[in-house]
Amino acid sequence: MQSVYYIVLVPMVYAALAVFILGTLWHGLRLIVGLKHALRVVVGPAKNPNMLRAVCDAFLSPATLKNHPVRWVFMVSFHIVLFLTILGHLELVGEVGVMQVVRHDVFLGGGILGILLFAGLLFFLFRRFHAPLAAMSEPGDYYLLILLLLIVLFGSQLHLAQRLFDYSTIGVAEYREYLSGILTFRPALPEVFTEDFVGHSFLLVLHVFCANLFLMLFPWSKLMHAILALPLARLRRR
Amino acid sequence: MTKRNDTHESTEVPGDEGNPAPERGVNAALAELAASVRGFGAFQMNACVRCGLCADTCHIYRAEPDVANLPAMKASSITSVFRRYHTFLGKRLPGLVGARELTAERIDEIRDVVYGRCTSCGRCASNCALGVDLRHILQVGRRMCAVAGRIPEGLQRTVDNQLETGNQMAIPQEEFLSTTEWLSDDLKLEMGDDTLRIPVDEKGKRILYVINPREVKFFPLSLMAAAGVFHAAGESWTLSSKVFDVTNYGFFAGDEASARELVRRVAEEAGALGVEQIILSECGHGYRSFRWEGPRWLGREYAVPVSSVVELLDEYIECGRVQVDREKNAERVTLHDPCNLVRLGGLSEPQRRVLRKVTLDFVEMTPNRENNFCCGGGGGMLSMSEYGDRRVASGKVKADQIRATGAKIVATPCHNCADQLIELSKRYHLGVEIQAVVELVYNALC
Repeated sequence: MQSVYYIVLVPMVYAALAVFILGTLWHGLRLIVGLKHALRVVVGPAKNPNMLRAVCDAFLSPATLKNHPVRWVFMVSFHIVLFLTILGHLELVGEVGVMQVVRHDVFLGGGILGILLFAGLLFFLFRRFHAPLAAMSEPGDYYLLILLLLIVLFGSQLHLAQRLFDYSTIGVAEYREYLSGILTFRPALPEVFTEDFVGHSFLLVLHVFCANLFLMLFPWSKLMHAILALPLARLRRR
Repeated sequence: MTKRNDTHESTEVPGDEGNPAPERGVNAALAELAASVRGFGAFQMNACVRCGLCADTCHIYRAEPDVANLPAMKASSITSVFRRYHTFLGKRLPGLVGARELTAERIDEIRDVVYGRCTSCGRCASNCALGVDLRHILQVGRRMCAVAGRIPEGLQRTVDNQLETGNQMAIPQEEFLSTTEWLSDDLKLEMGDDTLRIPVDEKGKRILYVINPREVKFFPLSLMAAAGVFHAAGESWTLSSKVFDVTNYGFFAGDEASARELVRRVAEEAGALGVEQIILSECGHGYRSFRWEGPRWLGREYAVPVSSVVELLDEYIECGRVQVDREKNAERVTLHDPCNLVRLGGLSEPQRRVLRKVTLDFVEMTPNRENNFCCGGGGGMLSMSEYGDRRVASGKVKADQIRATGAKIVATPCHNCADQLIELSKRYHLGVEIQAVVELVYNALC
């Protein structure tokens, strides 16, 4: 069991990061090369400055705000929560002074972010069971959402178990030791990660395993919209 | 299904020679898909997350809320094939990501979607939260059908007419000349000037005016109005009796070889007549295809500048080259924005400035400009009788827009749109008159 834990927490993490980075870079290179073949896409009178408009299109989606204001609030809120959750993980690598401008305990949000994210993902998932999305959704659409739900579920449990139920000995110091080791290519698993195979460490392994799968799928799935939104918006404003 | 014209580029792909026709079509379509997704096309294909927010941006979906009319679903008919042949997961786990093989039957399904359920108006693209150009993806579908020889018959016949006779309505040169002659006679009487005539094939003039052949056949008042305004402005202009068609059904069909040929003929005729400028009559897709797509198809810029006649009318009025009295157009007028001219052509303001100057009561539709709804007649729909019911049904959105303005006249700088709007007015009992912008300007001349 110890070796399974090790494989998930170390080699698989490196493999996932490699696939994620190289896959995304590969797409990025294709994108840069492809720009030369890009068609002119005129979608209305020229609006300048184009880059600023494109950033606005990609991150604020004014068209959605205009057409579906309620869904826009939900969509933007979900992405803000997602961004804050990713940001919160930085404090598990080391101290980030800037983030402590507003003093808080690690993890950011005190468990609220995970709950909001979980609720948002449930909404996106159940929405796909209803018309008209049910007819146009592919199996992969459901699997990706389920994978994300699992990541959030296990991640939230990691945090809430410790915070609310004093469930484990795995704390911020252990996460920092583990993650900084991964990032500096000196991987080391704190003893508490492997001293038992149930409870908190098991949740951690599940969380990391799902996250690894997510990273490996990212460059080959529609998740790439996170990278493509800005260049597509830029092309639209050409 | 008619055969593609001999002037088209070969659809043969290596190794295809011995295959039966359906397989050849499939292979040609796959080759076209591969060529189309080179570069940024692949990103368009990959980026849709099937969020469904594009649903009510589409006039066809609004009129008939069937999932088959949902823009992302329509695009999916092509992206699913793309995924099967061009993505990592699609090649290995096609069922997981909804990747599908291309077969002759699937090409027919794609044909029904890209020609019969989409007018390529681009409203879904301009409203997509992620900036995915669904219109471009569906246009790739049209190109795939074109190389597979599956262009709908009516549309293909129109392309063939254009290539064989020089204009989409197959109007013989003699008929064109006789029409311009009697229009000249009428205009002499109307404007009280015996020297007035519509110039044809005259070299060294400033402007070559390229029209929609429907103006010769069905809307002669439109051509007469343009001639009257040019006369009032003291313009130096000519028509060509050989190359007078601004429309481009090769563009609608997704047949770029034909589209390129049609554009080339107009550009060369301008050179042969030695004009300084090409002015395109009121035609949405004619403007889009000639002004914006043409240089890309030809691989070079034109030797002379190209403008729409609405830009010229705006210039005449702004500079005082023609004097107008807006009291002469006293009834309420609204404006329909042709998608290819406005949303996809970038030309939204000149026609508005003109209408404000020549009408007493101009009101906007809601929404308008680049967010306006397609009338339902775009994308070559008018030439495909098999989709006639869908076309008229999808026009309900436009009919409701028009009715809400309370206008008596709908101005539109596009003869294709005019055809559709005339039919919508009858079908939905709108009781409106459809006019070209130049007709309202002519009517307002002092």
